[in-house]
Amino acid sequence: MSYVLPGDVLTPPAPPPKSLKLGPGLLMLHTPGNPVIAHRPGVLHSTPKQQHWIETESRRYIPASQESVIGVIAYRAADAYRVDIGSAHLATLDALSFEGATKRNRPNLKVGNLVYARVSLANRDMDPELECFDATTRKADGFGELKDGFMVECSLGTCRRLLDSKHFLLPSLAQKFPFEVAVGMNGRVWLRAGSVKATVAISRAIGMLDDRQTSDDEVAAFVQLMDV
Amino acid sequence: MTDLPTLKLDLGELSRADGSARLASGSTIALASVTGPIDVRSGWEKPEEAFLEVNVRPLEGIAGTQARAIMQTLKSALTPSLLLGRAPRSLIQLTLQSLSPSSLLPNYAQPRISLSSKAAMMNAATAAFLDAGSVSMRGVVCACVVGMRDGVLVLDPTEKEETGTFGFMFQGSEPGELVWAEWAGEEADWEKVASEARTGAEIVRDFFRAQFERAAGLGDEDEDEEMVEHEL
Repeated sequence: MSYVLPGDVLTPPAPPPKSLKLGPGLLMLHTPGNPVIAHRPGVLHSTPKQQHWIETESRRYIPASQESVIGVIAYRAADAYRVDIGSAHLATLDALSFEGATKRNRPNLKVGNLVYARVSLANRDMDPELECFDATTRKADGFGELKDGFMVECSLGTCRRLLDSKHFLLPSLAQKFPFEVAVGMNGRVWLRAGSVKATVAISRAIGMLDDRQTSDDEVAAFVQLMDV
Repeated sequence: MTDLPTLKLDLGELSRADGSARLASGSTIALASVTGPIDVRSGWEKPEEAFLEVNVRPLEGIAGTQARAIMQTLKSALTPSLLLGRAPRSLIQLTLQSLSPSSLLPNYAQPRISLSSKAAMMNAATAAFLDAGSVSMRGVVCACVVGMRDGVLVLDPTEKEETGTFGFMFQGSEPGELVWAEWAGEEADWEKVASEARTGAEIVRDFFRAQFERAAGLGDEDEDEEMVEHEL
């Protein structure tokens, strides 16, 4: 693991492998030698299977296919909703992209409602598109409207850490009180707990985790001291 | 040869911007903030790339002709390092402000912005882009101010000693490519001055690498935040 700046060249191992899988932050140039360069600053990660990517600390979401995101309904057009997912453009969510939806039986989402959706289409030239089900099974799979609850915003890196099952924060909070949480890859976390106090406690803990100045140990200590 | 003034970098102080950087080079301080890619208004929308909006604000007074000229400088120096084609139909906003006053008198009632402020702004802009992490880049642009003191080229001139500013784009370990130059002097001295300025800009680039490495939790643990002065 090393830190790279944009323009840094990734030197492939010798002998060069048959294929390289380049993830976020890396580009292969079509100049002689086909060098691989970083186009984002961050920590370079590599696996023995030749998967390489850069973990960048950032707050602005850039849509990528298959990522789960939390969106806010911005307005409804005839057969689709336009959803704010924090990217440069509003995403489109077809009104029928929900489990069991037919022309006569559709979910009735209002402006301001929250949804947990998967990005089904994301490329730089088009507005992103969302789905609230698994396209192959047509089951909700956890996607759909997020009723009640509270949404907090954090950095993209914090969301990735919260989605890691080995991360300490959510399990340690769960030992204190029950709650539901949905983490979007777009820097948004939705939570629903039994009381306002618990909701505030969780959002404070996430805010502390997000803060660059506080260490993980301080956050863990804060959770331990919680009296909810 | 001389050292650069002591460099100090503070990141992420502006909570509403995607990225921000406050860079001090000695007593010259510049603040930069970057937001984007975000929604763009239809008059500025470009089908194949992002629109880069640069705003320059002086410390005193309102932005006038000089601020606009510096805006053009920064836009032309930074654009080569940005991969704007990766975010079509969007807006990237860069705002710069000088935080240190000029020591010279105002020119035609407009506040002055020194060459070293200009260089600090160029460096702060790069650091703000790196702090934001949301704009794809093909290199990092670093700037260096030069001056003459008793007939000797120096990289830490006072405002009266300033003779020029240079900006270089660094890609990996390649030598920096010149992206901005303004300088008053003898033509015969050009190569030498540009080369010394490039070395100064490299020091800024190395400083940025160390600072960002440390912020990411990698790299050496330094006791103080300020860069140790390098001798050329």
